[in-house]
Amino acid sequence: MLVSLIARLRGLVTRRNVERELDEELAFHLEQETAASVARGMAPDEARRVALGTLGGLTQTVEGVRDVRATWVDSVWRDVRFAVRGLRRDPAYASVTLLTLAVAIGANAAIFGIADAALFKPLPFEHADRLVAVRETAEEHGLIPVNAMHAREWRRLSQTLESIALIGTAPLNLTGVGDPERLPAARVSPELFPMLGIRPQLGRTFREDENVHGQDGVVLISDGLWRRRFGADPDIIGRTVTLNGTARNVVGVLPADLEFPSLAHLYAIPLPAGLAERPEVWIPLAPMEMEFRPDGAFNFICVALLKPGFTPEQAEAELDGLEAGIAPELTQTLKLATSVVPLRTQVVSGSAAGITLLFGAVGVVLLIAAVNVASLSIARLSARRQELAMKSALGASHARLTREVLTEGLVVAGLGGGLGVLLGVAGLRAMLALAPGDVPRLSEAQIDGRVLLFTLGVTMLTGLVIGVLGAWRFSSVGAREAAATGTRTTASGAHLRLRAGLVAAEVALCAVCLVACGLLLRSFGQLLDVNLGFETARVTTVDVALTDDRYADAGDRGVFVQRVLDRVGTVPGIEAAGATHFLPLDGIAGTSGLIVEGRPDVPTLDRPLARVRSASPGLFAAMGIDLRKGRGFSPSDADRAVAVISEAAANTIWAGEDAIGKRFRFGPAAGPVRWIEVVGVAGDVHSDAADLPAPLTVYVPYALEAFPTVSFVFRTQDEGTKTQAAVRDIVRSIDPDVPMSPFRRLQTIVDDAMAQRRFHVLVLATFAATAVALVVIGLYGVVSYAVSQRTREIAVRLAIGAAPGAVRRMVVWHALRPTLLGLAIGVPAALVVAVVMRSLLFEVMPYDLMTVSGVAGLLLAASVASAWLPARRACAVEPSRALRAE
Amino acid sequence: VPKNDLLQGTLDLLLLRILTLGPNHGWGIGNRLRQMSGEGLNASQGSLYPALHRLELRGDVRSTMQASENNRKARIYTITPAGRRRLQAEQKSWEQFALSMRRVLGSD
Repeated sequence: MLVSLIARLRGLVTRRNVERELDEELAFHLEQETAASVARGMAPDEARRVALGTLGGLTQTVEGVRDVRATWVDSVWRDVRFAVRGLRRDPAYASVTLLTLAVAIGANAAIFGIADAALFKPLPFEHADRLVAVRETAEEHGLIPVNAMHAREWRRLSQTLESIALIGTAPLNLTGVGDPERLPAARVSPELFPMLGIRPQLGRTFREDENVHGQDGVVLISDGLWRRRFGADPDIIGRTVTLNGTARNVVGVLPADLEFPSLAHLYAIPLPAGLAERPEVWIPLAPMEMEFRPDGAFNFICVALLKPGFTPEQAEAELDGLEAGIAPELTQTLKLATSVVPLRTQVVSGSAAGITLLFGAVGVVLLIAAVNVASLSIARLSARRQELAMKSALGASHARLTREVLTEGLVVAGLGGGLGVLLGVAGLRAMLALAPGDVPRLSEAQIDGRVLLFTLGVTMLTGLVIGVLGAWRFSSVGAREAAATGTRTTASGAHLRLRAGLVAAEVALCAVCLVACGLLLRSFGQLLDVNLGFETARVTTVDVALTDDRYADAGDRGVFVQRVLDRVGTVPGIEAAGATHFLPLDGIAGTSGLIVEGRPDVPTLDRPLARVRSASPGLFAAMGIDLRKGRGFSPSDADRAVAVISEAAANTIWAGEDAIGKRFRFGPAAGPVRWIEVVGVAGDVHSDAADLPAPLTVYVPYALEAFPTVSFVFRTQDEGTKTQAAVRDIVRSIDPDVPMSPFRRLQTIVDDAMAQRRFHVLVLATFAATAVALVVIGLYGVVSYAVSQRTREIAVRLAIGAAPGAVRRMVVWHALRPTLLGLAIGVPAALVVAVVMRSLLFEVMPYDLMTVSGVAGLLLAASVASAWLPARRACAVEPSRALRAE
Repeated sequence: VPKNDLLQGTLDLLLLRILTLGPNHGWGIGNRLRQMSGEGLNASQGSLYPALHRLELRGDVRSTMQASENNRKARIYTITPAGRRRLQAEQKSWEQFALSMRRVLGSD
């Protein structure tokens, strides 16, 4: 065994030597044979001839020895070299197939890179398979964030959860070190870090006793912030930093490789951009008394660790049971319940459908590419019929030839896959640049070992598809039969049928891809047609955070905002300026249950729920929001209890009545009851998302609900940025210490809100275009082949007076027939896919007639176009020459 | 007398036996086989050389490239101790087999 292995290994290393020695050995044999015959009295020439008579046998001997000597590596290597030689002899075939496969495999590698990071890779935390997200649900509102009191009870009573942590969003202003800066931050339960297995690179995480209001003067910072703002100071532990005007002790620096999800991906409902990011600062949750109300303040992200052996479903069933004991009223009236899902599911929930769709589409493109290459390689096999027949006659076994065909498929796929990985690296880079920021875990997407392994698998599969189709075709014809000229017509008929079938499959796959793309495109078009309820042209915004202690008083915040607006109004080039605290399409604004005057009170979540936005007098003009009834705000409203409500609110709350003059208030009643009077009705604004209905909205003067953040909105006469500098100077001159965000155009906010759809449409359209191009190539190949096979017949037809038009129709039919067959299969399949992807559509039915007929029309047109050149060639056939050639 | 279709395995046995007479090259071995069998047995190149290479891979023979009498390079095969052991073992079982064959055929 060992000897044999060594001998074989030596054979591998010194393959050239072995071959040469074998040649020498056999040459020697030939010489001896000749010499012996001469010695027996045969004439030298005759002896040589007899010895050479065994030449056929000689080849067989060489093969026999090779077979004895060969390891599988040897024979595979020989087949591979043979395949590569074949490709080099046929550069046109090689370049078309390799390019096709490289593009398709590259696109797969790139999309898999994104999909893997988002959908498949475990979260980079300890016990990632046991981490779950807990959300609460209410019948009418769907998923809502978690209430702190409920979570406290779950923690006390749950038998299925080992540990529960809450996360609250709380952007903090950092002051005292250089420019003031507003930092994404999180309030977290001390349990969070041990639960996720996060160990700080410096210092420690929070202690349980620091989770109490008043003892929570500690902070953890991210590696990025530590390097950016503190110069990676190794003595940072114990330093005091000022956050929102409060001094906190730095107790730890989190690790550099921490891939904590952005809070938007953990939160049950959309968050504004300013709150959504990955936290840079972490402070103890230290819940406040008001956050323990059982019926309000559904504000928190809840991450939990299952006890080993329990499933999310079991935990959900248990928490649902507990919920009835904690908040019996709400579980009755609101159907309040819980929803427990793997944490990863929550993180990707917003993107899973889209990414899956892209992943599916790119798979379809690869299938089409593989089928196309298989079809081309079958054409090539037909051309090599003579060669294969010759080999077969010379004693190559059928298995051997089949192996050659299979190997060639794998080699083509392998080379294509190699090129594809290179393209994939470039493609992934391009897609990361194009992808909207809200695709989860994008920073983890890269061409890594997993992607390479996936690509290898895909490449092998592709190679097998190509090889098996080729080998099947080869064996169905049979090498011997192929060599016989008499069967030429039947062979080419079978060949043509097979390739037409393959092209029909391509058309079907392409139709699925096109319908999906078309539906998304139509959805996007519908979305762009939505009247958002405000004008974005020449509107710029900037956020200012008034979270400092100096602005603890709402009145002071109101004064600051009014002073800024008074001066901004005088800047030349600014047509209108206003302030609000929540911009539309930038997260979901705070929601309040309204208590309507003169109506019996009901539980919070049963009241009419409205988004509350503050508005300065100029806001409606600056944002182009129509006033439908009554009036807007005037400067004298600043401290009056008045409101402008949206049409939806007016129609829902005071249906059939005139809302103007009606009064309401926000619950719960704390302090003296202050009713708010409706003075105006404004047009609806699709502020949650363009594809969601406009929510009920209540605008109040800034001072009435004085939020600590404010967005200034101003409409300019031109696109100039001069006004931005002027606004910045005004804010700075009034208070140099308040952090300002970069200026954003309102249109950018709208675009960002649609970025994910735009990305899907763009990528899918690219895939669909690729699919169509591949189908056209495939059809062209089939029609060309059909024309070349029927040249003689066409010549006869032309000779006996067939009109060129009839011939052209005949040729085009070769392209149309597989196209029609493909559509007959593809369109129903596409409709199934369309129903599955319904959640991605907007205002378009899955069985959208326009899309389906458009796709069918496009594919039919493409198939006629692909037949055009071959048809012209067919009509140009000169009967006399074509007939003589045969 | 079968000229080409030697029973599977018998060729290996014959080659090892010939090599016990001394190292030899492929042509010489084939020649010896013809002579020793009284022209009764003939191994074609197509089966001779693969068999020799197979024996080498199995470790029953060794080969070296050497300059022959007329200064051509030839591969010379030598039987190894393992080859001798195999020859002995298989010779016994072959004789057993031949005896059994003769008994059956002889009683016919």
